[in-house]
Amino acid sequence: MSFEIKSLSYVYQRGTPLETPALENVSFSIGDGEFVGIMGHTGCGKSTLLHLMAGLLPAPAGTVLIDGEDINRKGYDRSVLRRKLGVLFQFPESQLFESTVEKDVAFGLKHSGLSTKDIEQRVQWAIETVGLDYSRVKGQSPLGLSGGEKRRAAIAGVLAVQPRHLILDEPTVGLDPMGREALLELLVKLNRDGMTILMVSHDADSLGEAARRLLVLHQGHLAADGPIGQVFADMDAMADWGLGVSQSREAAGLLARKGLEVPQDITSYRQLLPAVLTALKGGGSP
Amino acid sequence: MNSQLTGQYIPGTSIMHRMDARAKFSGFLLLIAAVILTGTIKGYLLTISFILIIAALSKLPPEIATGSVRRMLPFFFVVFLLNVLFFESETPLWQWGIVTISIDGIAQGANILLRIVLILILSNVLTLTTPPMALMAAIESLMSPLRFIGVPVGDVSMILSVAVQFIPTLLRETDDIRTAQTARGAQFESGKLLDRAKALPPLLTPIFLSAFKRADELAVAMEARGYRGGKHRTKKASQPMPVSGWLALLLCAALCALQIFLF
Amino acid sequence: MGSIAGKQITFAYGYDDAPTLNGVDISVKPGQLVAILGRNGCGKSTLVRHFNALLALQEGELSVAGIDVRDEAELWRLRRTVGMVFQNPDNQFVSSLVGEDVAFGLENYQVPRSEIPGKVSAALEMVGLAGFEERSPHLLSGGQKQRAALAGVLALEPEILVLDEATAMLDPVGRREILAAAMDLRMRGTTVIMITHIVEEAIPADLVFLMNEGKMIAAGTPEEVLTVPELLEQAGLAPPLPVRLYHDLRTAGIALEHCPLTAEALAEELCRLK
Repeated sequence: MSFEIKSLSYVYQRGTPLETPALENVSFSIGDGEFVGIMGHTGCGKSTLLHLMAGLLPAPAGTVLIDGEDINRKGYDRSVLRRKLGVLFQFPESQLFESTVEKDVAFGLKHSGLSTKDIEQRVQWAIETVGLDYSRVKGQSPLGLSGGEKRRAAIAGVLAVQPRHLILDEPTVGLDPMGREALLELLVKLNRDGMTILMVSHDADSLGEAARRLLVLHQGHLAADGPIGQVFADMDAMADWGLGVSQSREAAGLLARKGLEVPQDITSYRQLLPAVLTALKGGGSP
Repeated sequence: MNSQLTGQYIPGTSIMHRMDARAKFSGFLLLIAAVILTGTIKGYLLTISFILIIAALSKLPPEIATGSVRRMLPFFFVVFLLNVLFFESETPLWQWGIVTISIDGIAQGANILLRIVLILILSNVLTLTTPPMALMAAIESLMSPLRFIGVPVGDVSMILSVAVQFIPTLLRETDDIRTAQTARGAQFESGKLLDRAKALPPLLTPIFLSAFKRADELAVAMEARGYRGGKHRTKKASQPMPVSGWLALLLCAALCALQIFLF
Repeated sequence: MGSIAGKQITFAYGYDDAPTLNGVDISVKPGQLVAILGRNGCGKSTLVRHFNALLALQEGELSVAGIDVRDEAELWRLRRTVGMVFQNPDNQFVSSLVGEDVAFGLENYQVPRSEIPGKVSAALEMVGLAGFEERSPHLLSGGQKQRAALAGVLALEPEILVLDEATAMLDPVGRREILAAAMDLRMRGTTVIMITHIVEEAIPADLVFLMNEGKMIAAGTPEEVLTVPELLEQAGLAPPLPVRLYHDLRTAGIALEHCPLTAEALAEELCRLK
């Protein structure tokens, strides 16, 4: 198991008048190589959960196991955690700070104990993996890159340590359609190569394309957990949680209401097109 | 993301919350003067009870009104110790080299400590019960006589207001970037001073870059909304100070006078 | 009234730089809801910053609400006529109180003190934030922040409102809130210009402009612009889902009568076929 979360609870601003429960008794586990989406209305506790899972907040109640180890156990080596778990926060381009892209991407490898040559190879691999031209950007200042390129450089910095698991918070916000498409392709490829991916997002279309399983958080509770098609199928429940579904799922719902036999566990366009074709042909035109 | 910001305004309806901000700010200055002027035990009894009454009137939870005091305990201990050990007294209890322990030294240490604690509580009560903007407006109105010697009071207060408005955003951003860099393996908590200094660029560079970007965007937004300097704006309405405000000021001034003349 | 007429607008940030805008024409009638579409860096934000003279016109002609943007004597009247809401909700506030922030623009135009509170509460009510005067902007949700920023602009009763990617950093709920506010304003007769790279946001518009690399590559109704995948792809954008499906079905030998823009229209079309 990559992640095992057991009865995790968290209270925000404990002991002040602003005290609010952020998470209440949340449990789930994520296997190696899964691609899991997390959705929830703003303020549902997603961000807190993400910080707890990444060991960036101590867990006051409940346990977080990563690869079978309690990350809040006394004496647990956090630097090991940092190398096997990559975290990409919202607007990651804001964390770029070095004078060149190469140095910035190498930042996470500083304490890795790798040789200079190995580090260089890793950096080149990471920069090329995110689709940037290594020889062009390596000596460039990250500030000189375009918006989309900056995001890629920041992702390269997280990938350079070659983490086994990757947590992403709203990675598609602010990207234009092509940037979004390229990012999703990259994530699907990394996942195919064995990386466990956990993506927190409001972007139902992206999750519908890339994720296979979906968790829904609602007011600090785990409200749903299952194959994404199944969770999206219940559009009323999604609406109750203040969430939308992907456009393809929505279209499938409208078509079904008009009497077209389209399955209701569709999440992406890839599934919608053949389903509509089958429905039109099988539905028996006169 | 998990700690209450020190000195962040907490809405409420207590007497202290409702008091005119100009009276509160001037009273605050008078009370600091009173604390500094206090020198005798009787004087302290009066000053301390005065300040405790103010704190009680603010209806703030005690642990929040004294929040910054508790956080600075180690610092207080050092200050106290330095005074106790190094106060030069003519009647030492015990002496070894330059280290001198005396009744005077202990009294001096206690004196300084008490003053710092009282002033901290006062400033907590002030900032916790006054919205930043009201405080800014109060300072601006108290500064307004400076207009006559050519100080652009309107622009200065605009700058202050914008800066205050940005503080929560920048604090949140600092937190976000610290977390993001920690996730990339940066170590901000490791012990050695040199390591800590080395850990600063990954934190400070992005914060400065972002602050500049924010300032730039805000300047454009302000321009788009028609800002062209403090002179071209609707004049601030000046309301007369309410009687309660004058009364509060009178009490604070009385405490000052008592400390000077009675004790 | 809130019309825009621009011809051959050309602009470069530096003397040696390639032009960010290259001979752009734009024409908007009063009261229209207009979408300017294009990917990041296509020049759409640069273009709209000419409308209130945040950027000085270098080449070409531009008149906004009947005011020549080069006329410096009219600069402040122009800025009052053209309201603008920007992308980042955190970087638009000057005050720690919503009410004071909304009053900022009014104070800049020396609106008498006695009229300000009424105008502030009316503007807040218009965006659905009635009674938020004493709230702190940084404790609001993203959508609420943008609506508060919008109220600050609406308090000046502009004839033209420009939303410069005002939804880009919001969650779906916030995005819907801002779009609803834009539709509401159009109903009241304000000209609304939306800058976006989200194709779906352009569907309810009266007029769509499509930009790529500093040029206007298409202009027309949503039906004329958004149903042509080649055009959108040329601009680095993807067609709306119903359009994509329409064309893919066509390739597979199934021809729908009309190309639908919304999922509802798509369902209608498919039913007719059955």
